Amino acid sequence: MLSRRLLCPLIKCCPPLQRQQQRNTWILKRVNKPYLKKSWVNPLVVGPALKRINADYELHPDKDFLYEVVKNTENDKMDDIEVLLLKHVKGLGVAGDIVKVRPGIFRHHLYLKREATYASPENLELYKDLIENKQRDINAPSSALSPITVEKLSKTYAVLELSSTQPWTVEPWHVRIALRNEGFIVPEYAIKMPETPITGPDVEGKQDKDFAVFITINKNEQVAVRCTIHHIGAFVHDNWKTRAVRVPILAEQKELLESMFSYPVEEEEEE
Amino acid sequence: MSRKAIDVSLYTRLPLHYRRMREELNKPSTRVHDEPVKTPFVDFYMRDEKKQIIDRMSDVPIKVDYPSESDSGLWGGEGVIRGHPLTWFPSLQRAVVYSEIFDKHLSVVVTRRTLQLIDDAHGFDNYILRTPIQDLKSQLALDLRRKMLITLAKKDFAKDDPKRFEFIWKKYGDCAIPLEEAEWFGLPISKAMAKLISMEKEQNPPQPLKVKFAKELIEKLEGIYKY
Amino acid sequence: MAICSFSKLGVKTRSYDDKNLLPLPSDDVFHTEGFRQIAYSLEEAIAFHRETHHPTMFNKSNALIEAAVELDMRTKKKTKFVSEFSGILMFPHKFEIKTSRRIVAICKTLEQSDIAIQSGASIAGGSDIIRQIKSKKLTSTDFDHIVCHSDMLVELAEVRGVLRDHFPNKVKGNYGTDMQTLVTKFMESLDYKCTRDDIEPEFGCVESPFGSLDMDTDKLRENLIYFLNKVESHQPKDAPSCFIRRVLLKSKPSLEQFRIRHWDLLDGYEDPTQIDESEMKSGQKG
Repeated sequence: MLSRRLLCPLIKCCPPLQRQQQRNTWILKRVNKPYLKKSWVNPLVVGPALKRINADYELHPDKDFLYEVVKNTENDKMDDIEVLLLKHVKGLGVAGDIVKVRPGIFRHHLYLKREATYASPENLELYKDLIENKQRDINAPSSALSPITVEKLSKTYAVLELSSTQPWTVEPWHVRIALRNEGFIVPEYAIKMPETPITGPDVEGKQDKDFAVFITINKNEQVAVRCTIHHIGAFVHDNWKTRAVRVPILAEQKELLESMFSYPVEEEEEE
Repeated sequence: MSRKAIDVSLYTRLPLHYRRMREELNKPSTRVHDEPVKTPFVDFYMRDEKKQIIDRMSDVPIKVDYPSESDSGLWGGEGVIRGHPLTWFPSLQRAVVYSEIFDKHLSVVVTRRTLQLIDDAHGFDNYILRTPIQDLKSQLALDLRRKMLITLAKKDFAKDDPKRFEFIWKKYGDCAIPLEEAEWFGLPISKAMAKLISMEKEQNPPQPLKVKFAKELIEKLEGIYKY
Repeated sequence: MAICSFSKLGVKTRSYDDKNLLPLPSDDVFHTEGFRQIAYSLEEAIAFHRETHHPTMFNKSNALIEAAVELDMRTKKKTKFVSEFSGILMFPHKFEIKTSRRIVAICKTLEQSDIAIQSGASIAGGSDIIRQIKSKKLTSTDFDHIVCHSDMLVELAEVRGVLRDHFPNKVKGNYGTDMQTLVTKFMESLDYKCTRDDIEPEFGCVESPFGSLDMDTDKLRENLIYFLNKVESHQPKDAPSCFIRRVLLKSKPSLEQFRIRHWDLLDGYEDPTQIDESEMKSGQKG
């Protein structure tokens, strides 16, 4: 505030430096063609090599400084750039991957943290080992997407809707359909069922109770997924996920299920 | 003796590589703020289609000013354009860039164009080392380049990590020049001349007249003593 | 124009567009959110529905399978769109479906009207019915279809203005000489109707069952091809793009719906994913 008050009289007495002040990258064009001497006066000034030589006459202070804006490149969208990842970046890829990212993200984050570098021919040559050894590293995530899939799968309740009249045993394809309803594409070979078979129908004993299956992503990472059995036609509360503490079906999976993610129990408001 | 004459004599005494660099620096740079005028025949254009009259086309680059502030930042060739009623300014921003040779993060004032040029050159070091010097348009860039060249000439980088040393030498080793040249690179004329004067002083230090006269006197006296 | 009004109303567009969606990843386990909808083959989609209706799950092996066809209603003019249409389907392979149909049969002789009533028509008669229609005692709310004997067409022409869409024509095929086949044809047929709203006039949708899950897959395929061809016949000739945008298979009580590769079933359609890839390649070269 103080500085502004001090500056105020200064600003008032000074004439404005320019009428239009825009801070952008400009590409301009001359409005008027500067005068040139006639070729008979100066026959040598011909040809592309002499193009850069200034006009023969001095530039007019008004006429020849009249410019016209051709283009303002400030708001042009920049293209994505190809980068080589040096470390695993969540959601982008693993070390050795070549991916395309927005330039701002690369310049101000990935490059400064040394998580990625330019995918130039020299860099590809220099980081040859990293690119070739990508497959061999077991501890690294198998793909860019797999850590996200693991996180999503571990927070999912897969609901198996099973018949309340016909006898059944829970099979991998039941789990596959339950996960498909949640939006996951899972092949049957990736599902590892609990060793004890679960049979039904058992509305009293197994309704709204949990068991766990293991899912292997890209034959590499393994996640435990919580599955819940709902019988078709049996009553289910709307807030069944948060209503009470989850009960396991199999006694052997009790510790496993307790260690997994579950929604906190919310107490119902009594009216 | 006029002041200018001293300057000229000093300039001719400057090292040849330094004078070549100054010549290079004065070459016309890439045109950032305008595009060359396109003409159908070399630098002629058809003035009258019916009568088939051709005329010469003037192609005078727009004058760009580089204020003293541009020497403390990296504007990437952009500058201030003073047009007749209007003036155009570059849009400046402060950004952090990473230099592999120094292994340091630098916070500098840049434009969007600079960031793009750094990307096109695949890194900050490449931009500073491999851009034609007349396009840098900044004393800071020249100073950084001199420092980089000195570091490369002395091999004074990544001393504790041989793997990294090899990596950087492979990447930027082809830019290295002898240390003697590197120390002169990109100096402004005033500093170069000061450097030259101090060097010359070191090589033949000036002798006080007192010493000189004393010597002469002793020589004379020695002669008298003999006879 | 239409997109503008969406944002004002805060309504989401119903048409499927995968411009902003990512191509499918190479992982074997992934979450489909943010990716393009997977297009299954018809056999796969039917197999998925059969799974959910397995005895251990919904236990309904004869459930109906429905197709929802999403249409591009644009025409050559920017402000004009294909109007709502309807029609009847007579599938090559029949399946059980509970429908109530009220058919009015107009014929010259008593014998013919007897045959019509035996084969399922609710009302049958001659000039008396035409008189009722004329006096508006019998309106279009009282029946679904009119079937007419060729001999009575001239007399029925009097009430053409009252009947409007119900007036017999060649496309519908609701006039002829054999009353029995005419009535049974319309008794076994299914109606379909294109629904469209004014907010998004370029999007239309037609839904109809085309078989039950216990039928042969080949029969289901033929039925679906028949249905899709029938829908496609409503497209004006000078339309700017393909008529059918997406085909979804549904089967109640399961809530799942699967997109199928309709370009495999129809002529003149190209695989949109392949077009994208070829464009990408050419773009990279350029």
